[in-house]
Amino acid sequence: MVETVESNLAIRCQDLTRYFGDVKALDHLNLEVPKGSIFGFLGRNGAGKTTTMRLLTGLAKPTAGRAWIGGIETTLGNPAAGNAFGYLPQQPVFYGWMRGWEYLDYIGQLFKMPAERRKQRIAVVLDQVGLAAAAKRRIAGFSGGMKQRLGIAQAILHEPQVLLLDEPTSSLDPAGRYEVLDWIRSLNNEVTVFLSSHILGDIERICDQVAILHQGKLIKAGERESILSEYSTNAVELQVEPGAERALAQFCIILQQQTWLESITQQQRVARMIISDKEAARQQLLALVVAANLPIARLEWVRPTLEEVFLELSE
Amino acid sequence: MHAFFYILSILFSILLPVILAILLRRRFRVSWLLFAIGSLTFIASQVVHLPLNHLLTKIGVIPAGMDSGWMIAQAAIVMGLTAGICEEFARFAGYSLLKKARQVEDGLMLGLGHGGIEAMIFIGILMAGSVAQLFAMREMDLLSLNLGPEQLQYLQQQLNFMDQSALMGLVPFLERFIAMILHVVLSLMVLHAFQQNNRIWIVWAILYHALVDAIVVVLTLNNFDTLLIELGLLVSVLPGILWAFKVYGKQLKANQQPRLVIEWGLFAVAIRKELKQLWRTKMVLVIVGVFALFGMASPLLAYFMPQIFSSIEGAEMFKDLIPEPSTVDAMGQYLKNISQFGFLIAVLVGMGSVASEKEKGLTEMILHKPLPRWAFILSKFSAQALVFLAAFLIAEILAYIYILVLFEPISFGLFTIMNGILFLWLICFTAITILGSTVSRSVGAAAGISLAGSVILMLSVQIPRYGSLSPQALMGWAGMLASELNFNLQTSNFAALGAAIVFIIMSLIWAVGLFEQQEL
Repeated sequence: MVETVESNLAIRCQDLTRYFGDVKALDHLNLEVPKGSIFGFLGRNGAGKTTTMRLLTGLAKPTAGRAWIGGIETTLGNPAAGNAFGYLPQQPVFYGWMRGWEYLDYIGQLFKMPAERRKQRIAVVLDQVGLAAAAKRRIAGFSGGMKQRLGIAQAILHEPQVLLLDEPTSSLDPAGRYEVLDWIRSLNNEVTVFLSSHILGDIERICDQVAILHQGKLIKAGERESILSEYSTNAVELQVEPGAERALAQFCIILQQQTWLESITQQQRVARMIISDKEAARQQLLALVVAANLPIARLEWVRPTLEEVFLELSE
Repeated sequence: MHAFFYILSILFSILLPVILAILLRRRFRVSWLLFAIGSLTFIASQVVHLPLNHLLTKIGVIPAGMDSGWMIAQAAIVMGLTAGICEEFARFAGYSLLKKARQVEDGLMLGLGHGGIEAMIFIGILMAGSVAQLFAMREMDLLSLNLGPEQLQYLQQQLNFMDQSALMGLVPFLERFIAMILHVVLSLMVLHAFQQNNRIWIVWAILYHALVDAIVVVLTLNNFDTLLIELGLLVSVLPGILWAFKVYGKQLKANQQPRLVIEWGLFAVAIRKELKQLWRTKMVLVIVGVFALFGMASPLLAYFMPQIFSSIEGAEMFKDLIPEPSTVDAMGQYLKNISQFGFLIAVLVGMGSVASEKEKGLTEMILHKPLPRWAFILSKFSAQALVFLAAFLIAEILAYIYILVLFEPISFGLFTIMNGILFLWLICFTAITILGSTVSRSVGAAAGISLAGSVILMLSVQIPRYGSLSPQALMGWAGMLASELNFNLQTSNFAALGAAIVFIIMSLIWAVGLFEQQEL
C-alpha cells in the first residue's frame, strides 16, 4: 500500500541531493514537472541526469531530500511506488533466453495485469514500437535498436501516467529516432514524459518544458518557449545571395575582430552570430554589412537554438 | 504428546522472531538488516561472554560450587554483569555501525534480531539436540551409561521433566519469548542512549540486564519450580516493558505507516521465472543429470569395485582384500559422491544468480517495478531449492532401485530420511551462495565469497566442543544412518538439523537485508 498525495504535478523533487563521497552528483534539486507535459532534462555528461532518474525510480537512495511521482513518494524504498511510472534506463538489458513477448508477459505479471489484458497490451505495444514481427524471437538475437524498442515497450506496457526515459533514442537509427520522437510527441497531454537526451535537437523538437542541470545543480527550468525567448535577442543570422559565399567568409573574419561578437559560424550562404553586447551590435552591424557591400538576402535577429542556450548556460 | 509440544516449542522459537520481524516491517518499513545486525550483536557478545565466564570461573570470581547462599549470590551478580556488559556493548557497537537507525522501530528490530537468534540457538539448536537424546534415554538403564553420580542425578532430573505434563514442553519457548521481550527492552535502552546522547542509558541497560539475569540465576540455583522461575523472569521484565511504553509509546504510534502488503503473488511470479530460467539455461538438466548419475553410479560402483580391481593390470591382488560389497558400501558411496560434488554444484548454480544480474544491469531493469527485493532474493533461493529437491528425488529413486537389485533391500523410509538430511545440508550451501552472490557485484567475486563461505561451513564441524552443532555435522548423521541402516535416536543429531535451518534462515535474512541497502 502506498500513500498518494493529490497534485497537479506529475513529478516533484524537493531538495533532492545525492553525494558520492565528496562529489555532489545532485545538489538540492527542486523540480516540478506538470502533468501531461513532455519534459526535456538536459545536462552535460556527469551533470546528474541519470542520478536524478535513479533517485526518482528508487534504484538509488538520496543523501537528502524527497521525490514524488504521480503523488507517490518514490524515495521511501516502497516497491509499490513502481506502479506509478514506466522507466527506460540508458542501456536497457534483458534476459537473453526470453522471447520478446515473453519478457513483456513477465513484466505484465509484475504489474499484476490480468492474463487477457496482458495479451492485448503486449500486442498493442509490440506494434507501437515496431517489434510485432520479432515478438517470438529470442532477445539474445536482438540488435541494439530492437532492444531499445523493447525497452520502451516494457516501460509503457502497464500504461503509466508518467514515463521516465533516459536517452530513449541513443541506439536508434535516424528513421527509428524520428518514429520514436513522433510517438513521444503524440503522447502530449495524455502521459507525462520526462526524458533526458544528448541530442538537443530531439528535445527542442518534442519537449514543451525544459530543465538544464549543470554539475548537479538546476540552472534553468521552465517552458521551452519562454527559455528560448529569454535568449532570443543575442543571435543574428545573415544570409547572402547565391555566389556570395566567399565574400561572406571574408566578412566573417572582419566580424570576428568585433568586441561585441561572441561567436560566429558559417554554413554556405548563412552566417550565424552570437552577440555578447547587443547594443553595440545594433549600432555597428548594419553599417559593417553596408561597408562590406554584401548582397544581402536576409539579416535577422533570431532566437538561439536550444543547443546554444544550453552551451551558454552550462559553460 | 511430549514430543509434539517440544517440537512446537522448537518451531515457535525459530519462526516467531521472523514472524514478529515481518509484522514490524509491515507497519514500519524497517530494514531486515537491523534484524541481521541484531543477531550479529548476540553472536559477537557470546564470543567474548563465554570465554570471559570460563576465565572468571577458573580464577574463582564465579564460584565453582554453590554450597552457600553467598556463593549463589556472587555467581548471580557476576554472571549477570558479564552478560549485561558483553551484550549491551555489542548492541552499542551495532547502533554505532547503523548510523541512521535511530527510530524506535529500529530498536525493536535490532532487539528482535538479538533475542531471536538467542531463541533459535538455545531452543532450535541446543534444546533440539538434547531433547532428542533425552527421549532416546527414556527407555534406557542409566546405570549402563558409565556416568558419575552427579551426572546421573542431573540426567535423572532432566528425565523426570518428561514425567510432567506434556504442556511443559512449551516452557522453554515461553522462557525465550520473555527473554526476547527483555532483549527488545534492552535494545531500546541502548537506543535511548544514542537518541538522548547520554551514555548513562547504556549503564542502566547493563544493570537492568544483570539484575534480571541474577534473579533467574538465584531462582534456578535454589532449585525453584520451573514455572516459578519463568514467573520471576516475567515479573522482572515487566518494569522494562512499562518503561519502554512510557518512553516510546507515542513515538511508536506516530511512526506507523500504512500496512505493507506481502506480495505473495509477485513472489510466485518470480519463482516461476527463476524455474523457467533454470530450465531454459539447461541448469535443471545438468543438476538432475548429475544427481541421477550419483543415484545410479553409487550402487553400481560399490557392486563392481572388486571386478574393477581385478580388471586392472597389476592390481589383481587387491581384489581379495576388498570385502564383498554390501548395502552399506552402496550407501557410503552414495553419500561420498553427494558430499564431494553436491556443494560444488550448489555453489556453481547459485553464484551468479544475483551478482550476474547486478553486473549486467538486469536488476536495474526489474527492481524499479513493484517486485519487492525480498521476493527477488527468495525466489532465486526457492527455485534452486526446488530443483535440488527434484534432483534428490530422482537420485533417491534410482539409487534405491539399484540397491534393491544389486544388494539386500533397505527401508525406503530410512533412505528418504537420509536423503532429506542430505538435501537440507546441500541447501545450506545454496543459502550461503545466494548471500555471497548478493554481497558482490561480479560473478567472480561471488564465486570466491561463496566458495570461501562453503569451506568455512564444512570446516566448522572440526571446531572442538561445538563442531557437532554445525550444519556440516548433518553429514555425520547421514553417515550413521548409512552405516547402521537403522534410525537410532541416540546417534541422531537434531542439533545439527536445527543449526542448518537457522543457518539457512539467517543467511537469507542477511542476503535480503544487505540487498535492500544496495543501489542497483
